Amino acid sequence: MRKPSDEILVAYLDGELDPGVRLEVEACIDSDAETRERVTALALGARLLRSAFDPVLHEAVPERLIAAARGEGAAAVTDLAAARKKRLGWLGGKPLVEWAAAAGIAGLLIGGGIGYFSADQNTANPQTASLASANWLDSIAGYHKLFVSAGADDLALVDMPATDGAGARKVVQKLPSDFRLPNLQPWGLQFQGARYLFIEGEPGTQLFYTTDNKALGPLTVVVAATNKPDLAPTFDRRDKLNVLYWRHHGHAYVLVGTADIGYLWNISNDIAYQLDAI
Amino acid sequence: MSPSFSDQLIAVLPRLRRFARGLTGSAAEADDLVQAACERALTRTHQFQEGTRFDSWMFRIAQTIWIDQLRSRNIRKETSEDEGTHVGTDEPLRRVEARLALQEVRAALGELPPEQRAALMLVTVDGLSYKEAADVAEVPVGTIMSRLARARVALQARLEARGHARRSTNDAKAE
Repeated sequence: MRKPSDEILVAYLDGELDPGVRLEVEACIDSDAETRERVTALALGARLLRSAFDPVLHEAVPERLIAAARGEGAAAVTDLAAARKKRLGWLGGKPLVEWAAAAGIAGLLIGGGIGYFSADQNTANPQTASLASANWLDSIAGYHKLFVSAGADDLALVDMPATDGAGARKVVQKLPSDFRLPNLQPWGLQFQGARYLFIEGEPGTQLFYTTDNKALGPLTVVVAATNKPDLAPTFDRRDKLNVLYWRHHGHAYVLVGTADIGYLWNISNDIAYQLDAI
Repeated sequence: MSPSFSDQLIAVLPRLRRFARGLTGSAAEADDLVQAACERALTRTHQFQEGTRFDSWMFRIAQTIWIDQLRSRNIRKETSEDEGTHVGTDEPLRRVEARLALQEVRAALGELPPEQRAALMLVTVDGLSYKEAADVAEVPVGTIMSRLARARVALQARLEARGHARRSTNDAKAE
C-alpha cells in the first residue's frame, strides 16, 4: 500500500475504515516509521483536544440553562450578539464627570474600606495576616462587595472602565511595563474595569471581572508591587468571600470572589502563567 | 411539552455546553448558544422524530443557530490574547505547562474554520460516528471525512508551531 493519506489515517484513528483498509494501514504503520510518527502525532492531537474540553462536562450547569430546558427561561436568547452586548454593556456609557465623582467616592472608600468587615468576620490565617497586615485585604474584599452590589446601577468604584478595547489598553498603559492584563475569557470572565490603589505604600490595581456563570461569580484580581519575600498561594476568607493570595518576585497577587477554592486555584494558575507570577 | 422531552434536554446539557464551547471559544457565549438552542428546541418539539438520536438533534439545532449568527452578523470569536510565552522555573511549572497545552489546543481550535471546528467537536471530542456527524452537519459523510482530516492536520500544525515558539522563548530566557 502506498503511504496512506491524512484522510485515511484520521479515519483509521476514528475507527471508520473497512476491515480490509484498516489492515493495510496497520501494515503500513508497522513498516514505515514516517507513517507511524504521523499517526502518533494525529492521535496525540485528538487526545489533547478531548482533554481540553472534557472538563466542561464536570462543570455545574448554570441554572438559567436548566430553566431554559424546562421551558422556564425568562428572556429568550434569540440573538447571540445582542445577548453578549447586554452581558458586557452594563458598564458602558459613563460620562467623564461621573468618573470624577467616582474617583472622589473611591478616595473615601480607600480609607473607609479598612475595617469594612468587623473583626470577628475575619478569619485570616496567621501567615496571611502577618504578611498582609490584614487591613488591605479587608479593603480589597470590601471593594469587591461594593462593586458586586453596585451591579448595573453604578460603577463608581471603577477608575477605568473597560467599555471597549481602548479601556483595557488604557488600564495596561497605567500599569508597570511588564504587566499584562489577565485574559480570563476562557473562564467566561469579562474584564469590566479597574481601580488604582496603594497597598502598604506600593501601587497596585484592582481588576474587576464579571460572569453570568453563577457557580463562579464576579471576581476581583489585584496585582500590586511589594518589597516582601515570595509567598506560596494561601487561602483565606473575608466574610463570605474566598481569598487567594500570593507573592512572587516583587508582586503581590490577590483573588477575591465567591467562587470555591478549586475555581480560585485554577484561575490563579492561569493568571500566574499569564503574568509570569509563579 | 412532555416531561421526558425536558428531561432529555437537561441530560444533554453538559455535552451541549462542551460542543458550544468548542464552537464559540467562550464560556459565556457558549451558554448563550445553548440557551438559544434549548429555547428553539422547545418550540419545535414536534419536529423531533422519536427513535432518532436526541443529542444529535440538539447538536444540529445549536450548530444551525451558531452558523446563522456567523452568517448574519459576521460574529467572529474575539482573538484572545496571544498566549504568553513566560514560563516560570519552579515546581508548579509542569502543572502550568499541562494546562497551558490545553489552552493552546482550545486557541488552535478557535483558529480553524467553523465547519472544521464543528466536525472536530462532534467526532473527535463527542465521539459521534462520521454518519452521525454528517447528519448533524447535514452534509455527506465524505465531506465530514475531508473536513476532519483537514482540521486534524491543521490543528496539529498549529500546536507544533505554538510548541516550537514556546520552546524557543524558553530557550532564549534560559540563556
